[in-house]
Amino acid sequence: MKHDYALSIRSLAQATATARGDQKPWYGWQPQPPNEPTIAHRFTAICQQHAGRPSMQDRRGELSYQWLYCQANHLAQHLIDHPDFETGSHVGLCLPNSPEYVVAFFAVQLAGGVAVPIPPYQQGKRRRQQIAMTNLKLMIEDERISADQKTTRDNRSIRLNATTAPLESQPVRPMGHLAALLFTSGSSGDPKAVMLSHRNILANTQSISQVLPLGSTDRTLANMPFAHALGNSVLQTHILNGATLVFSSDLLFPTALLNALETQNCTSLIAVPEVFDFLLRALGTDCLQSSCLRYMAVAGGRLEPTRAAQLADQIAPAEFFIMYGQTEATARLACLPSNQIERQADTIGHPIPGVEFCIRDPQGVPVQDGEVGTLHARGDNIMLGYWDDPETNRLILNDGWLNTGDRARKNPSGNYKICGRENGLVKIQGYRFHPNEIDNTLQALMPDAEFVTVPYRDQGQTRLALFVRPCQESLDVSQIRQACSRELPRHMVPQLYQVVSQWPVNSAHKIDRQELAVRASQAGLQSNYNRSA
Amino acid sequence: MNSRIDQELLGFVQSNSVTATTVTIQTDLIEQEVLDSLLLMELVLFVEQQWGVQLIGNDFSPSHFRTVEQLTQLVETRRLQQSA
Repeated sequence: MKHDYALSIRSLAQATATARGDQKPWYGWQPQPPNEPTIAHRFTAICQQHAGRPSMQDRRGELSYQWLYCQANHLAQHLIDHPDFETGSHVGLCLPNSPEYVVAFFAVQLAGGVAVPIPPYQQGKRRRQQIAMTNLKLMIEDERISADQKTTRDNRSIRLNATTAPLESQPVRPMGHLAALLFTSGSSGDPKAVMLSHRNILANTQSISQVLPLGSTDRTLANMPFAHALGNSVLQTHILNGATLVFSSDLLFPTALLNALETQNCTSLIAVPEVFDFLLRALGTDCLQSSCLRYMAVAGGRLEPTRAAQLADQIAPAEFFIMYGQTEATARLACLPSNQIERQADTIGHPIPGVEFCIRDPQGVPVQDGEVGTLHARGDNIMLGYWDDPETNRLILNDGWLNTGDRARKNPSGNYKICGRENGLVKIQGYRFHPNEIDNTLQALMPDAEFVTVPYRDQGQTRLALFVRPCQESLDVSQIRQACSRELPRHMVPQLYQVVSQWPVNSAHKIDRQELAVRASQAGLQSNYNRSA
Repeated sequence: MNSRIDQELLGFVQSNSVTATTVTIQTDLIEQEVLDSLLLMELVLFVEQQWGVQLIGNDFSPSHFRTVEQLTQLVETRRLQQSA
């Protein structure tokens, strides 16, 4: 079997232009406690235990755990030898979901670095901002992309090949607490990087494998982007349990997804609600015919309860799980098991093992069961904090408790129900962000207009409407659309665009966002088309 | 081919695409990476709302969504079937 995997390590020293050694986190760089296992320890043990079994499969064939370990170790040596690398260095991973990504993630761990996934299809200002704010020293990317870059200082090309040396564990290098930085959005609308420790990732991996029927014989379709908390979580839970990640391209169509599940003998699918919405449409009233499927799990947003119940019914005897979480909690916090979906699909179930919930009033006092308050969560999976943002950390992290920003109540059944959000954040395709981020981006580009983006619901989905108030006569909506497409990540591009001559105001003399959301719902797709035609 | 349907579909794809590709009714939307999961969903909802048809099962396959022309044919077929 011929494997042609080529990666490159590109130095970003010129781009970030900071002195070496200053990447120590602001909170004080702390070495990992000597007796506490790291991701590198766990990864090494799993690769030894499952050496001959498949860790991954893509169109080029199956790749064993032995292969994965050898390649990760090979790449780790290149990192260690790189003049711009030292223990605790932040290393960008700019790769699509692929075996290469998995090799690169664990190579960074083996080398004692911090993995920083950078979404590969995102360009421009946002990427530059992510590189600068996290002080990236090196970027691992596809060799072909790297070849186009002008900054070629210390570029290293690494060819991963089919050969596998005998599997001997290498001495684990000294490591810091920090294992990865994942990007998310804060309630102010600024991008933030969530600091996840080895303990965070290992704890969440273990908790999840206690609630899902996840073992070494699991084969899951790795279709959620690894740069996203859920995709990252699928990667960890499966590789660190000796299971198999299946890569399949062209999963755009739900029929292709169903086909891939069947032909690749997948036992599970973990995805965001939008994927399941689409899957249900493709299924119609038919039941899913799959001999291998054991379970599906939705996370990263709310699937309409009726649809969750319908799906659970149509995939039986496979199980369906509803999961709840956020990037700040590594990925997942709660789970509703399959046998409760019929009656409780509007809840998120219980906290997963190792996680505690507490619902508090605005003064921080725990409320009675049944009362609505702010959901706080505690456990080893709660992030160290946002990178370089001590102020926000003080606000949302307290004595080990994370303020999730979600309003919730505990039902008599003991299950938790999410009742809304406190901070105006929206979630689309599993990405949580504040609509302000869109407004701020456009405002910077077009100072002669005012922008307000509001979310609205349409056919069970969250959508975005952008309202514009021009301060000058001429304003071209198509230009605004283009700017959105160019400057914003795909999930933040609004569906509806409307020009207003003045803002509706509420009794507090502020822009009435609720009124704008009502207008957006009424306008819907019809005016979306008419306006743009 | 119903020119009103294909023009409306074309207009929708052109204004909702986030790529720089110039789209005509024969542009390969999959090959040219014009279609992504969000646009596909938008397009399905638009078709259903605009022409009152329901897409189901194998309608969601690349053969029907590759070009605006092919999608127009699907809409016409479903309209005839579902109004019968």
